[in-house]
Amino acid sequence: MAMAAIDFVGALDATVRIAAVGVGLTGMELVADRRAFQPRGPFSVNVVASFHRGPAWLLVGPNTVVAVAFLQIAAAAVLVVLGPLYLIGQLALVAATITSMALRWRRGLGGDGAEQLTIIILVAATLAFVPKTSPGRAALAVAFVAAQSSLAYVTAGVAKLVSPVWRGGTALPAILATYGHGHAWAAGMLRAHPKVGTMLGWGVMLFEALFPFLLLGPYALALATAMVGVSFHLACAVLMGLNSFAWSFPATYVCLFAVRVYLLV
Amino acid sequence: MDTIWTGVVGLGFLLWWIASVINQYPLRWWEHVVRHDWLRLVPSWTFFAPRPGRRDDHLVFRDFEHGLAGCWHEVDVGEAWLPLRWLWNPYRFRQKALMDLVNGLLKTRRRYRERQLDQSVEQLSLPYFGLLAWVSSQPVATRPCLRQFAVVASMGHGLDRALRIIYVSHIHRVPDGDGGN
Repeated sequence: MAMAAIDFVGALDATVRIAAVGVGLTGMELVADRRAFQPRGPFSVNVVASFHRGPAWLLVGPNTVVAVAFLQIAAAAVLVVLGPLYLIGQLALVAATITSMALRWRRGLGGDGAEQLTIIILVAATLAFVPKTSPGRAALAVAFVAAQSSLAYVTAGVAKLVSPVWRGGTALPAILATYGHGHAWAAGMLRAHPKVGTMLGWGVMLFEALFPFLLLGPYALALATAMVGVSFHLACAVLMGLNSFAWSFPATYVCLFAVRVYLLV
Repeated sequence: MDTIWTGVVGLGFLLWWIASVINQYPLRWWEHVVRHDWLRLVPSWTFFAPRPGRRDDHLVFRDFEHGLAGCWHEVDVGEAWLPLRWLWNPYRFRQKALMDLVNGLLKTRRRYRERQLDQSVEQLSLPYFGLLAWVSSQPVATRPCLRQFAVVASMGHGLDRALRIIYVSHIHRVPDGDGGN
């Protein structure tokens, strides 16, 4: 059926464009905090060499890191505007994939789930679009990205559901009471209204654990689930500073909807 | 040829996804396998669970001169500008780096305790090396310099903030090449 009718190439193209916004922002953030790669920073050659398992000669200095980050920003800009389908887009896709992986490898630390998912999207898209676009490989890449996204949500939800701290309703107020991943106003609000904290915690657990299954429901339910998902990641960005998650995870929704259509229509 | 390559890619995706599923469980045998994932392509998706981070870590150090301990100084990990943090958060990498190193060190300590190993061996762990290298790269007032670091955890905001010392290192000599004035 349906394989030819569903535009997997278009779905993967849209996913890459959305994820590329996050890639560009990450590159700009690394350039902005380039001091972190200089001798007193946590990513200086001396510090990283003390715990990194890779070859020391690959631990390049701060100027090279900034040059690679600029290349990442340029590649991301091309992907956002032109997409990965044409020659220049394919070159940009390869550049964005290599620079993202290289910069994460060079830091050795300080990565997060958004960066992991972004690299998964970029590698999958590279295999689908390079050296030339293949609708078959694009379909496989879309299914793979959707499967990784589903695994991420379900794992995050189940890991919270088995945790007494989360079930007891104290996790969310405690996280928001930190500076690193918190927000003073939200922490104060949850401290004043503990039941709200418990309800929100259960809401997060159930939403994450059920997310891919809700997408398989009626179209209105799937659309509402996706909207809740985008709002959830925006809230995490505002309240917890998880800005990069707001690009990488919603980017996968396009792939999830393509798989939904393939399975249900 | 294209069909064969598509098949290889499909098989690669399948194996990658299976490895990702296995990686969500804390299996000792799998840790030995995934250690060889140099590019860290196999993800871990247990965000803030099962035990969410409920503290802010602060890396502090002090120097000893003529046997006397000086003041504690905090290593700068930056502070995000709250109104724009939802979009622009450049210090997140160094803040997460500190979190990763401290969590790694505490995990190492826990494991050594479980195995009833000598606690001083944790000085040879990679997270300890990382933290020591980081504080050793901070400015030095006098040479030779003896330096000690500690990790202080804070919980809460403003006046409600509680502090707790969660780690105190041994005293180390800062190598002459490090910690330029």
